[in-house]
Amino acid sequence: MQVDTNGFHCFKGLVKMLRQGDDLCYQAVKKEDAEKVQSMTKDEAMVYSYIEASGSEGIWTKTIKAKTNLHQSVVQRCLKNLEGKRYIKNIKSVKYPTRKIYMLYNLQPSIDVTGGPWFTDSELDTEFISSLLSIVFRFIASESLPSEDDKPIAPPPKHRKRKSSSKKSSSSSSSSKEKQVSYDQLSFPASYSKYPSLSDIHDFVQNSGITTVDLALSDIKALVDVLIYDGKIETIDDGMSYRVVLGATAENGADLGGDEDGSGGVAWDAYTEVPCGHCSIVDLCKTGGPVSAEECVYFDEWLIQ
Amino acid sequence: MSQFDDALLVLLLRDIYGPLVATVVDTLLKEGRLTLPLLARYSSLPSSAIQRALIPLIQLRFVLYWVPDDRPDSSPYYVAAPDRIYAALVRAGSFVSYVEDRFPDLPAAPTVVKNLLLYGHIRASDYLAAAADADQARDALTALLKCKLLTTLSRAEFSPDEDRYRAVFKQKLALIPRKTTVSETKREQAAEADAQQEWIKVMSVHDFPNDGLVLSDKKTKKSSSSKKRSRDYALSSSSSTADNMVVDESAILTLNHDKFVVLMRSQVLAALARRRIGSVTAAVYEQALECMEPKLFRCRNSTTATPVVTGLEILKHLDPHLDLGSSIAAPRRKRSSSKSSKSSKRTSSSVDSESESESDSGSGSSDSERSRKRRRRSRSRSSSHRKKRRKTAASSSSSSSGSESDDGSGDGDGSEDDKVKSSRFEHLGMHLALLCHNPALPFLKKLSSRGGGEYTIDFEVLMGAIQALEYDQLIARKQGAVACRLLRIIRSKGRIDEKQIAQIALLPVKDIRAHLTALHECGSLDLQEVPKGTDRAPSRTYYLWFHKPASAYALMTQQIVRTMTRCYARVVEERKKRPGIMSKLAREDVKRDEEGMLTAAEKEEVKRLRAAEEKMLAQISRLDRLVVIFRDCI
Repeated sequence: MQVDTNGFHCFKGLVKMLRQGDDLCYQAVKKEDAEKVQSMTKDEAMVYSYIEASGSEGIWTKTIKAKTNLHQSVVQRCLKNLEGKRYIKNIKSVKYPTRKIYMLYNLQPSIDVTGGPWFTDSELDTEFISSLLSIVFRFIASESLPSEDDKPIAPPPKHRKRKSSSKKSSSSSSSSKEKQVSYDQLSFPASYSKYPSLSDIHDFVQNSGITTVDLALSDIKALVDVLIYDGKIETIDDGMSYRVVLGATAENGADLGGDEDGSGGVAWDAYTEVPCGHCSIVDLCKTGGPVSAEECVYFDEWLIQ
Repeated sequence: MSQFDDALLVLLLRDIYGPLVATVVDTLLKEGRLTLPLLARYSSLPSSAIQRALIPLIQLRFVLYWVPDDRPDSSPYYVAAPDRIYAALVRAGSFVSYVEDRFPDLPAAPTVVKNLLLYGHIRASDYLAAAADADQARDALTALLKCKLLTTLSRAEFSPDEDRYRAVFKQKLALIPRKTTVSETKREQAAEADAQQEWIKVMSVHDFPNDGLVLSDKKTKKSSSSKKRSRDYALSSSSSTADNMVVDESAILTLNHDKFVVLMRSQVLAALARRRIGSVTAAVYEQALECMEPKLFRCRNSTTATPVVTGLEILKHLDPHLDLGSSIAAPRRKRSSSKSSKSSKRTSSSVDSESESESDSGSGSSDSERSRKRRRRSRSRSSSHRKKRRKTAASSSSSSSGSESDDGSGDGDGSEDDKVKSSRFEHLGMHLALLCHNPALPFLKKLSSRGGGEYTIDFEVLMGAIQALEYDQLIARKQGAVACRLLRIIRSKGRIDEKQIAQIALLPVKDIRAHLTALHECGSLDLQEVPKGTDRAPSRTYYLWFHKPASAYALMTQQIVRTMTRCYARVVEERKKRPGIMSKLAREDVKRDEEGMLTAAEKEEVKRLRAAEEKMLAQISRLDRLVVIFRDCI
């Protein structure tokens, strides 16, 4: 490109000057874009160029003002005009929810701005997350617990038992029948290696069509981590795969309702059963104090139960 | 022990032993060690009354005394022993019921425990002379001594441990000569090390297996009957001559609360294994713990290494009717599992045949009795979650049984028996592996493959994990699942900023703040401020949340003990509300014939009162389980 034609092209807006390291370079600009800029006033063009340069990150109005050295009202006017022509758009950032940030109309905001798949309209989509959590949990549960198709390595020895118990006292044969009811367990052996790994879970979520949002492996990891912190699943094989924690339920693993956990949970819940476990003024409670166990109405209710 | 624990003890003492005793103990707990004149001054009671109260207190070892060595004729110091008072008063009921469960064919055993709870300590011969059936009493004493629930008592144990240790230290220090070349600090350090070694010996003086037992005179009929009875408990004593041992009549006996805590801990562990893995594995675990039991003397300040138990040992004592194989699922596709089974088969088949025959002969009536009891227990505890699993287990077993019977029909009788035994050992190994491969809760630790696998328990790690788990569950129920999630995040990350917590928890910052504050209030979280500059402006400060387990657990224990106090205070109040009925119930003639002497309305009232009492006392003993986990287990 000839040097003498530079001024002309720059003026027409068809070539942009860029700096790459210490060298100055030129970049061709699309004709439509150039025409767009041509139709703007000088100030608008300047504002537009900064917004364009910010790319998918967007730019804060204060930064525009500082960079262009224009007056606040001028910048506001320019932004309003540009937005009206649908050249730029206002976006909300997750990091700075109060800032007014602009970017080119045709661009998608970057993950830094939107906050990734967990954010919808720059707010954490808790419902989406909790539904995904319960789906992932169910998947891990189904993969890490033996199903009805799984057979025990040795069947309950009905015919064998009869042979051996005939030698022993008659009471033992009757008790063996009892046992099959009372001892009920079906676990995978410790060497079982088919517990789902992170990529298995990822594949499951992607293929299940639950969500159209593209979830990266790291997003799935975040979900699984939350489940671990909820005490619903645990890692085994040095964190390579995941399995469900027994006693955790699909809906609310840590928040064990009375029915969910049955009699097994009651033995573990002696403290919160007593009214004191939930009492908010428990620190004031003492004999002769403003509240006391002797006059506690919650105790009355609890004793009647 | 905090002031809240003290409140519970004083309340219990006041109700059981009366206001005088309670005041004396209360003064000692508040003021520390006191001589009699000082005790009289602080409690504003006459010395003669205090002396009257001190006699039973010392007899029960609720109050210990100490006469300084260098001034033997000075008046002794009295020190309250809150741990012992707590153990004796709060755990009395569970102690008796545990002994009832464990020794179903020894009716005298619970009576022994009850009497010892009442009297503190008894000379064996005195007890036998007073007992209605001396033979039964002797059997009970022997059995209890063998499993270490009873222990002998020496005169020194009426003094506080701290003073006894100081005495040992002084003695050791005197043995090391003063030198100009050795500094005084070094000399003290050397004496400290010597004293600690000596102290371990002093502490473990009751730990040898035949403590309080003597070889029985075989000619008498009595001992032969006791020999037969005690056979089933021989497994809890490592000595080969244990069968011939009976209680030493000259021994002074007392209850061993330390050992009882060990047994309570075992129950907690087995219950957890049942919840986290399954009932069959839990039964195996229970057996493993039972095999270790003779070598576990106390939970805290344990001086001995954790015992090792082998797979064969567990198999030998395991309930022979326990069906091990049907609870392990076959892998869905054929995998490398055959490799491991081959190697274990090789080692087991030869050794196993003899161990099995031994277990057959060894399992007497009481063994099956106990296992039946255990079964009952496990059934009552099984949760609805299990019920679901039961369905799957039942259906899968029914579907598989048909095909399996075809396979089995080809085998000859003799070879099948061997096969059953070896496969049983193999299945046991699988259950033990399940217990080992549990990264969150390492129930067992495998040391080597000798003797069918050597296993031990790292109690410190395991109990730490259980404490954390238990704490999380309490927090989850008290503050909600979200708070529990946050707590776990903070625990795993150390010190962490609010924003990062929100990011990890996938929750909005504004939602978690309330939970964090609530956790801060109840003492499970602390906040650290790190200013970015010198001005310490709140906007330019990092706020890092962190969790201190020890203090959090201590605060939780305090809350639990306070709750126990309130429960008991309410029991006292419920009685106080009904003075008429209480005075009537206290009458001798009414005691003899409650049915006849009370009116219908009174009976109704008594029923209501007893129901309330029962509920509160049951709750107290369940709360005590939590105290065991948080305070007494490690």
